Parts: sequence; structure tokens; C-alpha cells
Amino acid sequence: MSLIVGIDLGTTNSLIGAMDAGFPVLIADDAGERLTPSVVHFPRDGEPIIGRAAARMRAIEPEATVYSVKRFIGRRAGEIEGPKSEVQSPKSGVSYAIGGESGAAVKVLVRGRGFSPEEISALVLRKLRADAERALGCAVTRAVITVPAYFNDAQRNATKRAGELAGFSVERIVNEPTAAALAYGLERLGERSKVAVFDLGGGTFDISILELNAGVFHVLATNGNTRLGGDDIDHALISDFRLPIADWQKRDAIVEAKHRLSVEESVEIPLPFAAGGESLVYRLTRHDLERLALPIVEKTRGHCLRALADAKIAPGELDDVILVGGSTRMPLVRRFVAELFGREPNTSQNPDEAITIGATLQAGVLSGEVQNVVLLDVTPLSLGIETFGGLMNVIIPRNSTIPCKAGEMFTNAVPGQRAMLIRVLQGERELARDNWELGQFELEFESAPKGQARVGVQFELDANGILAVLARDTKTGHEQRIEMRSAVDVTHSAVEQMLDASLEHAFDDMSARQFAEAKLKADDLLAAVRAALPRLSLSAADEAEVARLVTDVESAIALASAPALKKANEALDRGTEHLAALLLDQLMGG
Amino acid sequence: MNDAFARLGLARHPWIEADEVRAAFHRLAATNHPDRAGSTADFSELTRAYEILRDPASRLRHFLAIEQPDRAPDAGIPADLIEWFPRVAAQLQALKRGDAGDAETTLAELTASRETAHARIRELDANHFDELAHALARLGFLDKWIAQLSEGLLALKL
Repeated sequence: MSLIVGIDLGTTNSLIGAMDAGFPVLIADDAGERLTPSVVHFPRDGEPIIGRAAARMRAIEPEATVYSVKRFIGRRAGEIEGPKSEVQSPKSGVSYAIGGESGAAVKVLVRGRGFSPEEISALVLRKLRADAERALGCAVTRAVITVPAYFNDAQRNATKRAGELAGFSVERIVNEPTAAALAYGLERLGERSKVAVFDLGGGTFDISILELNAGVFHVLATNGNTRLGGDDIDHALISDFRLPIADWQKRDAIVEAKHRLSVEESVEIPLPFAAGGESLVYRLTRHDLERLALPIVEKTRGHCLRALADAKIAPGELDDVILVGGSTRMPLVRRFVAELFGREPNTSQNPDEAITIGATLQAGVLSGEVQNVVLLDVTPLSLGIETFGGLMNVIIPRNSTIPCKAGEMFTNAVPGQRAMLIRVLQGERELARDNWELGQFELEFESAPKGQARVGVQFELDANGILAVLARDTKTGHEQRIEMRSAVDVTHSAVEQMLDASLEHAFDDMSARQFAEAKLKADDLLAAVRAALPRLSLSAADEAEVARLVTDVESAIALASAPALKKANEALDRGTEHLAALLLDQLMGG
Repeated sequence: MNDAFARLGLARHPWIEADEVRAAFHRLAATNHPDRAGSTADFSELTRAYEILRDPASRLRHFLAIEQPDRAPDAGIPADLIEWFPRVAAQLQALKRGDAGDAETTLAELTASRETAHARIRELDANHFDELAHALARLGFLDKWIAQLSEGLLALKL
């Protein structure tokens, strides 16, 4: 079995590691550095420059130097708040151009060429691969790559694609906080404990709650925000910057100031020949930094509370709260975590390196070098499909252990219907349109009377948290993988086609929505009537009448007929009006 | 229906401590995970069994379904919960308007009521089918209300 490396593909820095004689070891580049800035510079002529050398070019040619691209991976242009204004706005700090048609994948625009974020990431990965091959003296073709736990299907797929573009066979996508927990727990394999991993990096935030039990690393719940990190603190500092100098100079100064303020109380950064040859000094106190950073750090609170609630764990039950990610070096973050969880956080892990150590350990698990360790990870987001009336129907709830699968049976709603469009969604919102659309596929039916054609669809999340959809013919038992049209890759003409199709089906949709609305109303009515009936002493005739009205509603639901259901609802509503008054009387009286 | 209790090697009982369910899951996952010699299909089934048994209400529903598959646990709304409907509804409305009201108190009462229901389930076995069916109906409402009020209060705090 050939070697597998572990890689942390970070927003700011990336690292690579490999197992050596049973231990995870980080690999340094030829300059002896383990951290490779996730930066790619495109010179006017010649090959792209990657890493530290590229980071230095940011000051000289900011528009040709790409960094923090992880923020855009797997995203659509329209999703990033004002992509165009972001490029022009000094606030964003993204000094290169990004574009792409709204609804299509984001493109990075450099020197008249467009690159996908995964192509940029692949260049960073290729450099790490070259460093590892030089250090190890052998070909490196297999990798475990980490992603933020809260990455969705598209972002995971794009990261996997980046690995493949860099010449890796990607053996596993691992969640960053889970990897960090692995690094923490390796020396505690005999124990049973509950821990939280608070991972605040350059661009993303994750909180994961785990139970560690005899080598099993069981994620109980995870939550996070893929657009929250140290970069946001940088933006806040840049907005607050008073000196009249170029943005790149501001950025360099504030990053240095921010880092130094983790140990110092106040800093002075000299800016020689900054403004028209005049030398300036940038002064910042920890107090001011914390005033600007607090609203950003505060945003992690809700995610932590939701993760605890999902894990059904009180902060007091945790044995440790582990900090990882560069931003957790800030004293403000440490105080915040201590207050939120009611205990001093565990800072035993190197904030920059723990994730790579964990990724390398998982690589060791897959190659068989590490025994007695198993990661039981979860999917961060609920997976579902759009159902009648534009609602989200959850098929695999969030925090389900992966790999997992769930089946759903589909049937024709009208006689002779040959196909059905299924939209696959990820997210926690009730309305389909508020969730992330993974893609859609068309299910084909045999021509049959209404409700007779049946196709079983299997939704499978693999150990990477990536979805596969299988259709199963109920007669032959034959399973077939369904290719989903990814919502990210939809081209302009495909969008036009979709619009045309939706106009054609507008009438169907309308009646479906009407039925969905009537069904919601019916559910409410039925629940209310069932709640009230046992409390009331009705005459036999009244009771029979209510029962008849209830049956009418139920059969209208079974028929899936919107007009019939509306009528039945109205009849039930009218027929039970006096029940509500009666019930109220009894409650008041008794 | 596959017996989730058997799949996790646990005795079939309406109540099992969450800790015990997880321990059984960990023991089996250590050997059945696809990263160790297990197949994805087997592991999915194991995970499914764990998801069913980890939650008291879904565990109880499963218990009743495998004990008496032909008998639907058709219990109506427990009479003493009826007063709660308008109260919880009003409080959820208030929370939406940004008014915490006495949602905390209601939540505490509901949680206590759920604790009592859990404690009762601990004492019962398959001979008490009807009472367990009623307990399941009760948990259905209590779980939903507690989740809704908790989420409303959380949203208000943030």
C-alpha cells in the first residue's frame, strides 16, 4: 500500500504531513518552513509562483496575486454578497478581481484569464506535493484533505476536485475540527470523555462536540459558519485605518499588529516612505483591536449554543474545550470561550498544526498504519428535497453519522406522468428556496395510472459527506446512479431552459402549491379538532357530524385534490366553529 | 422491521440510558466501520439502529412497533396537555415578536414534565403497551414544544 499524506488546505496557510514510523510528522519546504501561505501569484511571463514568494508579491502586484480563495470554493457568483463591489471595495481586502455570471461558479480573474477557485487551490496543493516528494524521496499520489466541517456538498466536491487537479487520488475529505480532535485524543485513547473543538481560522469557523471512547472519535454535533474568521477582523481593522496609505500597506501593517497584540498590549508599526515619501507610524492597542474584533467573535456564540443543544450536552459535561485555528491565539477569543463554556480552554494543540496532524493520522488509519482509531463523523447540514408548496422535506437530518443512506419512494401524481423533476437541497430552513440547492435530477416513470408508477430513490452520503443519488426500479431491483445537474455548474443556456420549463409547468406548480397550502390548513384543523373532542361532551348526532366532516378532509388529502380539500376544510371549519366556543367556556369555567 | 436493539446488542427495553446506547454503538463501530473491515451497507444499518435508539421517543416508537407490529399505538392527545396548546402557541408568538415573557418558566415546566414521563417509561415493560403508547404520544408533544421554545429563546438571546 502506497503512502497517503494528510493536508490542511487552509484559507491563509496550508500544511502537509505524513506518517513516519508510526507517528504523524509535518513536512517542511526547502526553506525549512512548515506553513505554506495559500497564495498564488501570476507573473506577467512564466509559471505561477506559490506560497511565501507569492505572498511577498501581494504588495507589489496585488491584482495578480490570489489569496483566501477558500472563501470562494464551491460557491456561486450571486451568493457572495456583491462580488463586484467586493472587488472594488477596499473593505473586502480581496485585491484581485472575481466574477462569473450570477448563479454560475465563481471565477478568479487574473491577467485576462479566468480561473476556478479549485484551480488556484490545486496550484497550492501541487506545491505541497512537490515539497513532500522531495522530503520523502518518493512519489506522493494519495491524500487526505481537510475542509471546514460546515462545508456543503458543493464545497466538498470542489475541494476534492482541487486535489485531483493537483494529481492526487483523494482518499478522504475530513472535517477540520474532527482532525484536530484526533490530534488531541491520540494520547488519550484509553479514556472516555466529551470534548468541544472550537476552530476559528482565517476564513471559517467550526464548533464540533465529540465523545472519545477507546479510540472511537464520535462527532455528536457540529455547527459553524464558512464565512467567519480572522479575515473579518482584518477587514474591520482596515475600515478603521486612519492613515492615508495604500490598501496593501494597510493590510500588511494590521496583520502584523494583530499578531503581535496577542502578546503585547500596544504596538507601533513603522511605515517607512508610506505616503509620498513621508514615514508614518501605525499605532494600535489591544483594547482597540478587541473593541473591533468583539462583534465578530460574538458571532460564534449562537453556533456553539446550537451545537451543544444538538449534542444534548450542557457545557459542564465537557471534559475539555480545545482551541485550534490561528485566530484562537487572540486573548479575546480565549476569554470569550472561557466565559461561554464556563472553563479555561485547552490550548495544548498548536493552532496551526493540529488539523494537519489529524489529517495525517486519518491517512494512517486508511493505509492501515494506525490501528484502533475510528472517526465517526457527521453531516453538518440536513439533506432534503423540495416538496409540494416549496417546502423542504428532510431526508437525512443534520448531525447524522456518515456514511449513511436513506430511501424515498416517488410516485406519479397524475395518470401517465412520465417524469418528475426533483430538487435536492441542503440546509435547515423550512422553505426550499432558503436552502442551498445542490442540484436537480429528472426521475422517469413507466406510463401508469396515478400512483401506480413507483421509483425508489436512495440518497447516500459517503464518508466524505458527499452525496450520491441512486434510482431503484422496484420491478427489476436494478439500481442506477443518477447524475445530478449541479447547481454550481449550471450554464447560462441551462438556466434559460430551466426558465422555459418552469413556465410550461407553471400550471402544475400552481395547483401543487394550492394543495400544499390546503394541506397545512387541514393539518391544523384536524389537530385542533382532535384536541378538543375528548374534552367536550357532544350529542351523538353532533359527534357523528364532526366525524363525517373529518373523514371528508382525510379523503380529500388522500386524493391530493386541492379544490376538494379546500371545500372540505371550509365545511369542517364551519361545522366546528361552535366547538371552539364550547371548549373555551369549559376551560374558563373549569 | 429490523430490530435496532438486536443490531446494537442491547436488551429490548422501552428505556435505555443514552450513555449505554452510545457505548454499544462505539463498541460495534470500532470493528464495523468501513475504514476497519466493515462494509458501508452494514455500517449504515448500524448507524440507523443507533439513530433510532438514541432518542427516547424514537426508541419507544420502535419498541412498540417490534413488540406488537399489528397494533398501532393510536393514542390521542393526553387530556392534561390540552391546556398547554394555547399557552405554548401564545408564547411562541411572543418570542417571534421579541418578547421572552415567561417562556423560560414554561420551558422549565415542560422539561420537568418530560423528566417525569421518562422516569415512568423506565418503570414499564412490554406488558404495559397502552401506557407506553400514551407516554409516546405525550413525548411527541413535549419534545416538539421544548425544541420550539428552546430555539425561540436562543434566537432571542443572540
